[in-house]
Amino acid sequence: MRKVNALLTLVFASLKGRLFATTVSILAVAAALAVVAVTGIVSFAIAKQAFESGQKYPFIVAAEGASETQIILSTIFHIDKPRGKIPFDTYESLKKDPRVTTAFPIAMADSIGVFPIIGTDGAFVKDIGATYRGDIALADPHDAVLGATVARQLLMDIGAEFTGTHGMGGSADEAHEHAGHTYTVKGILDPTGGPEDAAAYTSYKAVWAIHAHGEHHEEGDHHGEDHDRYHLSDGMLTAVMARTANPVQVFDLQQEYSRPGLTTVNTANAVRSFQKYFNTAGLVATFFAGLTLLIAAALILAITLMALDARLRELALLRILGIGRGAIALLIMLETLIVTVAGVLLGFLLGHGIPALFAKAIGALVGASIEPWHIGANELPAIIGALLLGQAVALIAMLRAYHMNLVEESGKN
Amino acid sequence: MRIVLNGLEKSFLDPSGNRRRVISAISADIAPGALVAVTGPSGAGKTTFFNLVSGLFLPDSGTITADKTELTALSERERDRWRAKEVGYIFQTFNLLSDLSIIDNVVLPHILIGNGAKGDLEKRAEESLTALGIGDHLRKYPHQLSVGQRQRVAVARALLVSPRIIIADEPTANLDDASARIVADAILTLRGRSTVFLASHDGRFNAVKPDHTIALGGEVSPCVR
Repeated sequence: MRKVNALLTLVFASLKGRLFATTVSILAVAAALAVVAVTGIVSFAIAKQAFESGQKYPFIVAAEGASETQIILSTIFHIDKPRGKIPFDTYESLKKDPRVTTAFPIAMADSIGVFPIIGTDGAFVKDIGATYRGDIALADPHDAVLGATVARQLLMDIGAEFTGTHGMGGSADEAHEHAGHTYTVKGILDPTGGPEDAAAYTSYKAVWAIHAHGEHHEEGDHHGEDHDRYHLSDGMLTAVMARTANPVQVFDLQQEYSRPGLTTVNTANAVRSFQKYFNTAGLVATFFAGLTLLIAAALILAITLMALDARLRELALLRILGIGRGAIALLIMLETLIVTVAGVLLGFLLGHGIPALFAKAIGALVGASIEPWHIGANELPAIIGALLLGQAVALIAMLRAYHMNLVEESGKN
Repeated sequence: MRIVLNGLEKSFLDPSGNRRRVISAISADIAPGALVAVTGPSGAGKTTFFNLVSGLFLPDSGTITADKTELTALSERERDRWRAKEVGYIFQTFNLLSDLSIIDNVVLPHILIGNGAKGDLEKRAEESLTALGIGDHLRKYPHQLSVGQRQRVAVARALLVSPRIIIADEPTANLDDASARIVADAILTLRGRSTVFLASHDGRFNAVKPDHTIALGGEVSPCVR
């Protein structure tokens, strides 16, 4: 045991003596693994959110021209702009449909700060299922309910007033304030970690009121296709989200509502292709992380071999003092392994610790609840890969150290 | 420890690929506790000779016997163990491990070799370093010490477990007068207890008559004793 302790003292002293190289090597491994971990966490959160939403709102109708992914990003995650308008009677028709248990109107045209304002009704806000303070019925067109992040970041509480800005995060010259219509915060949702944290909810009637007659813009201040898209006059929505009694009925509804001007989304199906998209994105990220890992391994090998050459005299000294080749090879191998294991541990801590620290912020950014300690499908193979690479590098360095005639080699220097 | 060298030969390939004989027909019967002066010009093969005597290299031909152990018949691992237990090295350059503290430099190699328990070795190292005048520098690192102090650390390491063979290769070269005197005294006091192989151009050793002289560079002294 005391020999092991002595060996480890030597190993750590040597690593400390090459602090910069050791740090760079550890960081290289850690960075690669952290990327894999974060990608896995975010992909999982988005996929989970999409899957749950798929079950919650299996049928969505939006304007023609939008892709299924765009519709999901806009209606479920609130991180994309709606692509057009649909008539209100689509909502009314779905609401009356006996196959539909619940339908919700969605009218997205404005924003408050960087957060979208979702024009809907109180039933939708209630359907989110979040606990809340105040009143979330949206009974009056001036009522508003804020997500937890919106309230926190904009320092708003119940009773606060605000006006919306036209547009959904468009360019500054397109945006203008709807100064004529003031909202009063009636309710605030408790944090859910989901997309609702980063949204404000108002009545869709308020959106109509603002865009139908409440605003007279100055000539030339904001025109064009983008403005028209958000100009939701009376009787227009951007989407309708509906729930059916039986999932099979979604197919019937899809066929019936596939008509000019409308795009229908079978959310469950769309989520699968959506997941495929994220899986592909995850694979691309993992590929680059793998590449980083290979570079890190090459770096560690180069640093180890260079250090080996630089330390010939010291290693030769150990041989002269009677320390066997095996012990010296073990010393070199341990150094490499410790660097790899430290990189793996640090990568795990960074890859999960950063999402844990910033779970709310990341959740708000991607519109999904973050589970920071979730281990993605690619993470374990990446960790095993890093350890195997480290082992391979250690083996190469160890064999070189073992077969070197250290005393003769050091004599050449 | 009695050392018997019998017809030692050793050659190396030089950088141009030619085989160069470095050690040629060395024979000697060295009694335990003897002081052996190893002489010869630079490049004569003194370091190679020391590496042969310590079992680090094997000769091309000839045998080395230490007491009843025929060194040249042992495996590399056995020779490593033998060297670790029996040989103390003091080099011209101090050859300390730069990343280890002074106390660790003295003690750690001996722990790795299995020459004793840590606590005991540390106690002896502290005593030895104090006797050599550097007891206040135990936790310092080699770069924080002067040249002479570093050589004293190397002496402490070499003598820590009272090896029966001491190899001192120009141990006082480049040292200031005070350090050289301390190191020379430490080595010479071992005579009689350890077999000391000494290569040195330091005049301090001229006053001491060796028991054997092994002159490298072609000539080999006869066995004196």
